[in-house]
Amino acid sequence: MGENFPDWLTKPMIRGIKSFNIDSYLLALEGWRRGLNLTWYYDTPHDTDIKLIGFNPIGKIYSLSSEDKKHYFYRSRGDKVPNKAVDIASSKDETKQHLASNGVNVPSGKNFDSSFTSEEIINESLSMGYPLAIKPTLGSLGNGVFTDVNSKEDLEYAVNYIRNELDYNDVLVEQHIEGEEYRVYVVGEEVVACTLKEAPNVIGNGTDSINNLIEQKNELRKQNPHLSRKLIKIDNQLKKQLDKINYSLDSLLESNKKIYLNTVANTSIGGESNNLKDEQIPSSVKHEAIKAISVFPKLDHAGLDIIVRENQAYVIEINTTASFLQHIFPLKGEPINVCAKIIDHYYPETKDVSINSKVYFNYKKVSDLLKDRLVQSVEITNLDSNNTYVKRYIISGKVQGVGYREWARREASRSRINGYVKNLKNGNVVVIAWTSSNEKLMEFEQKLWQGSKKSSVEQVKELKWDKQINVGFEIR
Amino acid sequence: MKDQQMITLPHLTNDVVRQARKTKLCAYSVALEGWRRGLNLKWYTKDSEHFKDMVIFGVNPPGRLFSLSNGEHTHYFFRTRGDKITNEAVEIGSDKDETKRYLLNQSVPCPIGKLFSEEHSDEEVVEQSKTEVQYPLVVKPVDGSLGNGVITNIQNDEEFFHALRYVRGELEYQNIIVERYITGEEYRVYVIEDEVIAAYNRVPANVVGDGEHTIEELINRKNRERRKNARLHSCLIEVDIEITEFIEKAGYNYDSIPEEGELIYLREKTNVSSGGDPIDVTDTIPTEIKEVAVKALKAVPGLYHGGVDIIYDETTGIPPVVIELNPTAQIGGILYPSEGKARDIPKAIIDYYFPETKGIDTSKSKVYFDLNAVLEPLTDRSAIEVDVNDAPDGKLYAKRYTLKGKVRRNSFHQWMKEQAQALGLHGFVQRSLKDEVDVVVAGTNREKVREFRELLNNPPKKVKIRQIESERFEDPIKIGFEIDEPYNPKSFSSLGSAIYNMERELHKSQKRKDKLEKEIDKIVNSTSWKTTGKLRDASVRMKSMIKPK
Repeated sequence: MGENFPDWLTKPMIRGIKSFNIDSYLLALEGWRRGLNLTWYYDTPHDTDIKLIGFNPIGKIYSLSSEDKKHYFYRSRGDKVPNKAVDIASSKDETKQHLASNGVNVPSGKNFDSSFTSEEIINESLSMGYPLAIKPTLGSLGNGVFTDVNSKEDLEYAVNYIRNELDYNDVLVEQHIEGEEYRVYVVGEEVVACTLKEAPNVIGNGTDSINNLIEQKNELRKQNPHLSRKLIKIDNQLKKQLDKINYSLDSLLESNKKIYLNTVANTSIGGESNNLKDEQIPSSVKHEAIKAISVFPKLDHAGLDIIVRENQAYVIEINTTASFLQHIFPLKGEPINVCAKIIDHYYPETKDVSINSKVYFNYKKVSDLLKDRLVQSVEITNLDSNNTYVKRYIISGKVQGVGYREWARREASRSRINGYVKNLKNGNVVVIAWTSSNEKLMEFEQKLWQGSKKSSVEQVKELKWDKQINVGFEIR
Repeated sequence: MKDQQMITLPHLTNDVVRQARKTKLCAYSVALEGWRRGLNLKWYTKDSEHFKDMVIFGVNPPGRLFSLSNGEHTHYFFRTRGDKITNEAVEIGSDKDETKRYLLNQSVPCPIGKLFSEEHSDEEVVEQSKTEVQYPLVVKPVDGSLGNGVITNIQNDEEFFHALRYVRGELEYQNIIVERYITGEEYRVYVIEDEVIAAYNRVPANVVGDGEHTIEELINRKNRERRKNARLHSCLIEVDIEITEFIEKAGYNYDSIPEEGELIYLREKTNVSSGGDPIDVTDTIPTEIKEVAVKALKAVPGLYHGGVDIIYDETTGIPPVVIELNPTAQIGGILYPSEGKARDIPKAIIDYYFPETKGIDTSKSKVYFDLNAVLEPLTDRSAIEVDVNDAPDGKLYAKRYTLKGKVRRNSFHQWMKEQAQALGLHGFVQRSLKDEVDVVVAGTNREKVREFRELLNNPPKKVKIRQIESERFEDPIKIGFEIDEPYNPKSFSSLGSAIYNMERELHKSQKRKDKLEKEIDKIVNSTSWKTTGKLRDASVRMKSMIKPK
């Protein structure tokens, strides 16, 4: 309730869909709304070699096609991004070397592979000087990333954690750059979205305890579809952090005093995201991002992590399969439709197609079918027109337990009506119906009076409906 | 009464085709055959581009349009008809008058007849037919199907007018064909080019008396049997005016009690869909019939395979007569005949379209897929095309494990599903209302099944498997992995029957308890009780034994 959705999305469209599947769904949805053909696959079809990463590709492989071309996508990445770039970017060390040798600013550091003992890593790292950042070379999603490490004790802990707990052999130790952190999405030669990230924090008001302030922050996060499950966790690490700065959960925080609850600005642990307007984006960020992308041949779109210290931008990471959800669902600032920019890039001829931002397809159903391994691919029904006449009907009488919904679905199928039919708790039936011709919709309304053999309809009440509408006709 | 014998092909048992009724069964049996041979199978809605130029009809709900592909070439099918058959051939076949023109052109014998349109009054029809066609007559709608509105053996004007009022008035078929009624046995022959694949004979709906039950009761009993048959359960004997009049003509009504062994036909027409019985005669039909069938099919250009309906009476010396061609023939009758052998038309069709797969024997195949689940996105029209996951390549090795103990946790069942899927196994978990659960796993690799069994030795926490019974699982296996409830929580009728069964069990136990208590009372109050004090201790022990907990 009351969640913040950008004006082209609503909650029911993404209900029940998880993380990277949302990226896949939203990008596919954008293309499909423009009239492109959309097909979902269980595994990669023969005519593409698009590289899959991560452990569960189901519901994340799809193609969009127009009459003259077809592109495959995996999550947010399309087949214009060469696999070579994906390979390089999957290793933080290789990426860094590649960037550094092409004159892009990166933090200095060293990669330690399995030939180094943990002791050797620690000794050599100490010689680099604090503060340090330590991460698994092949890690992703910020797992096992330790930043602002300032003591031997913390260094030892980080190395052991990465090697023993997370089971990574290769450890990357870098100089920690203290500065503003940005998440950037680049398409072509343009920075299309830039989110300023901030570590989890609270600001005092003079009356509430830190505990209460965290709760208030979490309430705010719950309003955000992307952050609603990425709350600030009250755990030992947090207590330790508070201890370090001489606070506790019960401390009363003075007015306007801002304290950080973690040193990492990752949204998954409570970090904040603020979408910047184009004119707010530091030019050093734009410049370094474009430069970094251009040293990879043909890297058409990607996400980048950039830190700025004293007007100097450093590229920390490049993600060729980056999630763009934080740009679409920022905690602060305006949502940016990165999907539209990516589709523009792949299908520039659809740039000016007017789209209906209310229509969607039931992704959950499709992905469940793929997950159950019953089907190899599913081609989604195409949108034939952007003209929509929509109505909501409440049907009363003897309409439940008499096959009314099955009947309505058959009739809808015959008349090519979209929408759904659903039983209401009060014994009535609700129908959402939409189609491209008003006349057809009126005919369908008349039909609703008939009902199945066993039903007897007393009333069909016509109401307005201006919310989301699904393609196909479902029984709910 | 003779029991309705279930005759099936070994690989198309009731379980496999449960979700496919009527013409969906035709499509499914052909699609399944191709899929089992390793061809790629896709299902479509009628909105699909691929069927834009194909003559199709009655395609809602989905499950009639599909394609099979071997990677090099793809063939599209509507029910049993593939894309080798031209649209012209389909159009000729669906117009009974046109069919006749083509047949006569190649001197294939067919009954004399005359076409009447809505411009002709009933009187005109009767007058002209009487002289030009002559009694006995048959009336059929020009574009009817499934034997709807076909009235046979019309002997005089009175019956003729009556039939016309029914077909043109009530059923609203204005355009009709009047034909000479030819007596003899009716044969449905399935032909692919020069070869007769199968032939069956259709016996009209009938009941056999037992000297005890009325005709109405016998019909109901027969319908109960037909419900169990994959093909016949949608073709029950429906009591209608035709039956009423037909049995009246023979001097019966619904309350008549036929004698034991007395065979009573209920209709003239033999369509399986109106209650008739299909009887396989493939091995016994005379060559004359085969020859005429092949010739008839050839008479229509572009009709490479299909059904030919023939009437023939061996005793008269009159050659077999073709009464209908069917480019989109229904094959359910011959897949599930009431007598004889089931004939594998799907196999022959796939051999014809994909000859390179001829050698692949699917008769032992146990694998199939959940048709309704696959078709669901098409049924609600959120998709226009689904591609069924490929059939497992090779023989399936399947095991059923019955796990007893603390095994009812949902999370455990999910865990088993994940493990099975990670090993690439198919199967299902069957939950029960007791402290046990069945899990069936199947795969082409025996080792993977063994690995799954090993995993059961270390189930997740909180699960305690006390005992594992295992056996070979011989039944058909759906691809994918399901978790089945002992009842379907989403279906009122399923929940209802689960509750009903539980209540009955409860009621039975209650009754048993009452009965035992009564017996105890009897014993306690009997005079012998008073005199057999020595046995009292034993009785007390017994009482405590049978007292419910």
